[in-house]
Amino acid sequence: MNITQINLTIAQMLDYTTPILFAALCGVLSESSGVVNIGLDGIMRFGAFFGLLGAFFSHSPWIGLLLGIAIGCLVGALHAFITIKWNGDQTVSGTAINVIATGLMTYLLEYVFSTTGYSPQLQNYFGAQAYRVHLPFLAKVPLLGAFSDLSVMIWFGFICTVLMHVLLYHTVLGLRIRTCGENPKAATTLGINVFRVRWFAVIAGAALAGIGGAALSISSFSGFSDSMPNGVGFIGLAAMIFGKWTPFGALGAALLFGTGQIVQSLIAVTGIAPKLAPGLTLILPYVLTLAVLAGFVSRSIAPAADGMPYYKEQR
Amino acid sequence: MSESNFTTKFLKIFGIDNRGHNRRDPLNVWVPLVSIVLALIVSMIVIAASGRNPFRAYALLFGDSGLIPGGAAWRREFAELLIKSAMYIATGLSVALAFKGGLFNIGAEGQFWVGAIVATFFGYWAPVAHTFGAMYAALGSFGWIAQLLHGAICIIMGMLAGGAWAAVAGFLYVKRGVNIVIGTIMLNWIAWFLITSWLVTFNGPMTPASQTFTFGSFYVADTAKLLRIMMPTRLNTSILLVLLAAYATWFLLYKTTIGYEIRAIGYTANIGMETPRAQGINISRRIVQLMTISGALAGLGGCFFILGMQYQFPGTAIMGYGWTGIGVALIGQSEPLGVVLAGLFIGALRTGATSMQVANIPKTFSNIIEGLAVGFIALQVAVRYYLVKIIQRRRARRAPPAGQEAAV
Repeated sequence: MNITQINLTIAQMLDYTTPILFAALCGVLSESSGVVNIGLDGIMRFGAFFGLLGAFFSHSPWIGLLLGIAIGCLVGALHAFITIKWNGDQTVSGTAINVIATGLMTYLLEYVFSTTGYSPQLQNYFGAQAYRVHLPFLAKVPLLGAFSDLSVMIWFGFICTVLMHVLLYHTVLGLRIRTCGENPKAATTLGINVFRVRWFAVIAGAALAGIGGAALSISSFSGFSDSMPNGVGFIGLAAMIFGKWTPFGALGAALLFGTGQIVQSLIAVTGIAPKLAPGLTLILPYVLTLAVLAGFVSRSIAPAADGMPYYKEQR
Repeated sequence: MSESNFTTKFLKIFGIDNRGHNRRDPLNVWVPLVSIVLALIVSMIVIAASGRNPFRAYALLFGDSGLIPGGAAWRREFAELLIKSAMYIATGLSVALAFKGGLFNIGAEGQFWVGAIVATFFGYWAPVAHTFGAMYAALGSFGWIAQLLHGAICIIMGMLAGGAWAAVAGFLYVKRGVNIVIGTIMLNWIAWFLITSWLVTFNGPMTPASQTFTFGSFYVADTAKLLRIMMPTRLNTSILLVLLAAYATWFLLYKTTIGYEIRAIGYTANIGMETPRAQGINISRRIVQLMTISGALAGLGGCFFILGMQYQFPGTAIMGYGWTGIGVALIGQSEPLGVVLAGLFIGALRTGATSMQVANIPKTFSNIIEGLAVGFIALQVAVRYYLVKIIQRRRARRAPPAGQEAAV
């Protein structure tokens, strides 16, 4: 296994990581404010399809990305309307979004492209040479060589992680978001409008999930397939928990789970443990998440008011 | 009668408390019905917006759903409807029972697969299959006894496996504080990858050895298959078994101490469960038991899938029965009778959806209707609010104004 192969493997791992990372960041933002968003898998499906749609008809992935963000905001607003405006059950609302996404995207795929299973392939997507970020000076450095030629979405993911960290821990708004997630009653007595903060967090989070979906269809792959996002949203949820509801934790977990996805190809390339069934490596992220949650590895605790609808007048 | 008086009286008549938890509340029936109607209307708009004829689509959907008797293919469609419904009712009961105890068992999907794979194993595993095969041959015209026994063993094992899979989540919840939603989602994916990427994959432990690229497990023995009860069609005993399960669930919930304790836990799940704890209910034990029974019901659905439909664990994705069960439980308002009706409705949608392909509408369209119905259920606070308002307005219009009443 030479340097080029290692670099390619790392780049492939980062390709898997990015959608997971965006999903996890969506979860971090939304749940920090106290709203569980189990529908992020469905929002990613919306984002993946509309991202492709925009990129396909405008021949520019940037338009696709914008459309992905827009549809993410829209579905997020629906989730916020149900769970914040009408105090609906957050998990039920999320389930509804997931189920609608399954049916509606298949319907739209057939309606727009008259195909089943796969959309037409894109020529201009973020993974294409023209849209990669070239950093030739890194190419010679061992290990960092993989970072010399990456899709712009991967860098965007890293930037979003840092921005999210700054937002949550170094701004007033971030403090307010976290207060709403930990103790909405206290937030109200401080004059914070819990509902408005939660609306913001849910919609902004859903926009990130929309980007994550677009990252699947117009960055990691060059088209939409009907099986997308194939549970990536749920892996993102796991990454969020594994990362203890923090942005950098989510990044670390997403990198770990991304590695889990390529273990299979690593085994194929290196010839280590050829007898090991692929199923046994694919379950690793989920087993690890359960272990972390159960406190066998290290404890991970959700925001105190996570998942609780907030009634202003209730004691 | 003043407006506020009327409101109080109305709320009193219908026994609505501020949380809307009353079992006798007639709105409990109206909310799912209105949700379904709203979902059908919105789906109609989706079809119309894409330039297709919604009336033709719905005529195809409901015409071939098996709900309306008559027509050449009706018997077959009716059988399909019942076969599909049996699985949805099983997973629906699983989710509904957990809801009653205040738990969201989103893992019915994984428990369904685990039940299915274990039922498959006991269906083809040589020691069992040969024993019952020999028994079937020896009994002659009483061969159905061997079939019943073999089927029963597969189903019991499948249910136990599904129950055990759910019990893991229950155990992690009560002992280590792992949220049941997250725990069951993780277990879903663990089950999924263990089965599809290991057990039934190419040259996996449960796949026939083959040079060609084969997926899917061995086929179960003939004795393991569920008996057919309406001969030209493939309708089998699954629908009878699931109705029995629904009755057992109702009996468990409303006629036994365990059921009472489960409901007591469920009522107070959001406020710390102090009351049941003070009553001396062993909450941890009840929750693990509840998850086990819930998982067993989902596993039962998996058994139906294998022993009544596929006869092997297929290699291609069969996702969705457990997820649909969540919708069934929500539309059925978590009551066993409601779950049966909701399961029949969803089964009808799925049966008829195949015919919608004639009108260029993919068969996954029924997912949109289901998802929207669940969405409106999630919005039930709003649905209830507007329903009460509509009823109030109608009552107010019918009742004569206060002044006239006095004059008479």
